[in-house]
Amino acid sequence: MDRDILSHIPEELFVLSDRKSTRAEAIHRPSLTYWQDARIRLLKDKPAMVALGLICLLALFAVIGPHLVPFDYRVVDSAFTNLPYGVKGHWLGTDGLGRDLWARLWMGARTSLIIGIVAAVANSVIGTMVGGISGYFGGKLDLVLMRTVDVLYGIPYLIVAILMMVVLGTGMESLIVALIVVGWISTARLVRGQVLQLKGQEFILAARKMGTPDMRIIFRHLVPCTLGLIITNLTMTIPTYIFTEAFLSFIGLGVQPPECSWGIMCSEGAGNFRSAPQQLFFPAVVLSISMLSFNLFGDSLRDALDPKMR
Amino acid sequence: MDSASHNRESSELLKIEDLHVSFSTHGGTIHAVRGVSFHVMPGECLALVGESGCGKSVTAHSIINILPKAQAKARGHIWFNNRDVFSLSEKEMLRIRGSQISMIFQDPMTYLNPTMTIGRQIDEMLRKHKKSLSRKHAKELCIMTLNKVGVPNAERRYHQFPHEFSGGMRQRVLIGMAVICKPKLIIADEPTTALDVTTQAQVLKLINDLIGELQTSLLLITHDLGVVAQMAHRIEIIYAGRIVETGTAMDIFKNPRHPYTYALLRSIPSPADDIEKPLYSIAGTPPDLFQPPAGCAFAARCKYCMKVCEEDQPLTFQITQEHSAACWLLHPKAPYSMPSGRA
Amino acid sequence: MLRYTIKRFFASVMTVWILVTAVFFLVRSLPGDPFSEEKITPAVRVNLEKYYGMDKPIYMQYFVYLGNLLQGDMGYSLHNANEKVNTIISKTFPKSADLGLRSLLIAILVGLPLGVFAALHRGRAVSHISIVVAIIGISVPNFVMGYMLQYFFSYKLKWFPAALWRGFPYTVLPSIALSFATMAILSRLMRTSMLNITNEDYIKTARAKGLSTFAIVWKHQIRNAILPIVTILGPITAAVLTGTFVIENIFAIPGMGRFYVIGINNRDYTITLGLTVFYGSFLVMANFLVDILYGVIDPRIRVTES
Repeated sequence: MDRDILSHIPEELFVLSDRKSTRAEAIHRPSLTYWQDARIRLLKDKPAMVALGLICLLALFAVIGPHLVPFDYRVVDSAFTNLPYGVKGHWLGTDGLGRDLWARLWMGARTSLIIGIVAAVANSVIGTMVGGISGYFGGKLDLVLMRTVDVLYGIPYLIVAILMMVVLGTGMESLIVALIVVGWISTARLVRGQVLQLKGQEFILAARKMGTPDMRIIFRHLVPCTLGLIITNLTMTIPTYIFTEAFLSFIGLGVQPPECSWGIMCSEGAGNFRSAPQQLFFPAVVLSISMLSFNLFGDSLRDALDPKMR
Repeated sequence: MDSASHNRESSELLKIEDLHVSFSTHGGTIHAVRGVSFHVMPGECLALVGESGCGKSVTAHSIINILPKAQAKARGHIWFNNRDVFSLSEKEMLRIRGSQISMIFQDPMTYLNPTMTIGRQIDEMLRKHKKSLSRKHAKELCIMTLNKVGVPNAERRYHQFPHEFSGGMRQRVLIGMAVICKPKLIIADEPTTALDVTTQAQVLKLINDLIGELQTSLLLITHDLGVVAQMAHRIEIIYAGRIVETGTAMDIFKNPRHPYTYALLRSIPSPADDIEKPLYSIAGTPPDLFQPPAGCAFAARCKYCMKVCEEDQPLTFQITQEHSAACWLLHPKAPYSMPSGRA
Repeated sequence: MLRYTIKRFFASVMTVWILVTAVFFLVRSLPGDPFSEEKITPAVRVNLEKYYGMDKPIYMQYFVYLGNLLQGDMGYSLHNANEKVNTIISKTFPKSADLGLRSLLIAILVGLPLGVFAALHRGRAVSHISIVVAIIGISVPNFVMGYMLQYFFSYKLKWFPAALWRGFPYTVLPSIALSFATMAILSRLMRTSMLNITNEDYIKTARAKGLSTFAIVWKHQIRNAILPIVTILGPITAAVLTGTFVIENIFAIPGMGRFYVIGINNRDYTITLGLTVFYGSFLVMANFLVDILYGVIDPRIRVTES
């Protein structure tokens, strides 16, 4: 050993410590709850925040957009059809029937967004209830429900949606019903899988052994743990429903004129594509941006809520 | 000794000199290994003992340089056969890994590729390191190795998948993969932790027999002192990324000189203990390696802690030629010392 | 494995049966009688009576219907009394299948390698390209993509013909338009899958064995990363198939999708329902085949009997 170093250390230090400067179990970093941690991670995620901003912007315009111009979205004006943007007070021009594109765009936004969100929420609720109950109580109920789900899952949802639209007749209400009929299945499977996994964990077993009633276990323990999954799933299914609505409207099965949605606008705009491409372009861009934003945000939400990525 | 040169003459098979490894993560930089030095002689079994998170696995991974390049930063020297591992090109490392130094990992379930047959996974070693062998001979050698490590029905098992084996069998397969190229050094990272006690004993015996037969050195990494007692010639105790005590098995078990080693030994329950008394455990938790303490890392949990322990990192004091400990209690100026003898 | 196959087979048969039955009863529930509109000529009416056995009680009609289906007879078009639905299917489905297969091929051959490279070379050009492709693929609907490609590459640049299906150059734009969304999904999934595998323990074992990066990627990572891809082959096929509805419309391709959409808009119920049953059954069968394929590829399922 180096003698110089040894003798450098003052005598006084070789006494029993009074422990002022050390603590055996001091907590070095603040502990965060699951939701606080998720929120922090989400806020730090720049693409997610941009996506969220875009969504809010879209919602804002859906509400106030049509009121910003003096034109009503339904009014036909055969004198001024197919105007390019910026002409005669029409910020985005007019369509083949002379209707103002800006007003139609944002009225369409209302329809598309409402359909997408309502369908997604309804499906989440139904799917969660079915999946949760089936997963938790198990037994015959689970078997029957799951066999049904398995069988129904095999039928491609777009086909069923088309079928339902043919039968129910077109229009916004039928569309929402059709979307709900096909959509709850995947949520149910997801939630059931998660519940099954949680059910097997020790803390549920402990709660049961302590005599906690089933309802309390479901709402106090299982729901908070699955909530993250449900919320993410909800966010990710919204673009699917927006797309389905657009698709169905595009082939003539969804929303009908004079009502307006992005799908209808694309379909009408496609007819004049060569001469007035902007009629397709505007709704297409807004549709794409909304789908992209929901997808990006949903992706980041899933990462933020994933406990393994802390 | 000129440490700056990349080659040196010495009899140690493996010598680690002042190894520091840190990881950059979301939460900051973790200083996982903070100045570890030890050596392994040819043919000996060295045990690296410490609790979870103390840096022993990181040290092991550094030896064959499989740390994640994006997050890990390492400095220091690791001499294997007189060549510095950090100075070797990736190509040269590929030649060393598996054939000169091989590793046995902890959890045989996840450390085997589930979609590849066992036979192919062992065969891969030969295809990489013994290219001159014909396919037929390679297969024979694999089956022979499977037999040697105690896998029954080796011929049939050769074509099976990992999920068709039990935990103990899988570990034997991993051991087989580690010895098939007759390496000079085997690093066993917690080889028995994932196994039940009876299988543990069998696997340890297998490893013991194999290293005896092949005259290989073994670096045994574990937190289980019972395992160590059976197999190790020398022991290094590691805590919070630094070596706190080094010695022969006899030294460590009969005369521990570092409070941490002493506490570790004390916390092994013995059948002779009084049933009424509570089990001994070391109060507190290991320090946060994001901001390692300035003084001795064990200070907060040590009942002999002095002021100097809180301020300065303890130096390593030599007790006998083979026995040393990094503790201020061994300084001549220390007013008291730990009880000597068995814990 | 055999048990697994049989189980899946019966589930598929059940699904088709439910679909077929649902179609039957849904038709009956249509408001009014679709078959009594003025548009229907007496000739068509005769065919309908013959096919559906309209005068018999409903449960007999159901069995007549099932019997017809099992023989592959799906009746006649409502608007064109001489056209059998079957003929329409046999004439148009091959073209749709051709389009679909080309798109799938493009999506797989471009999407998978893109995903692999994006996983291996994070932060470099390939990764960024893959991200851009993914973004476009998930946000731009296939009908928009179809029009965009048509506008730029056919109308403006005149590189490819805009419509119809008469030879190789005609297939390029529609196939690419249809493949984009799938390409995006595959590349994202492959990338995620590869990255997940990189963190798996057996990759550490492979490195400790001294295998080169290339050997590790090729022999260990890709084989395991493909598994999740196989599971979504079913939904992907469905997406491509339904995509043909719009792509064939945009590019005036005389495929089954086009007839389906026309039939829907004309309220030609026999065509709509017949093709719906066909599409549904086809996709159920495709899902079944994918399930079997997965069982074959993943040894954990394949070898469970031993």
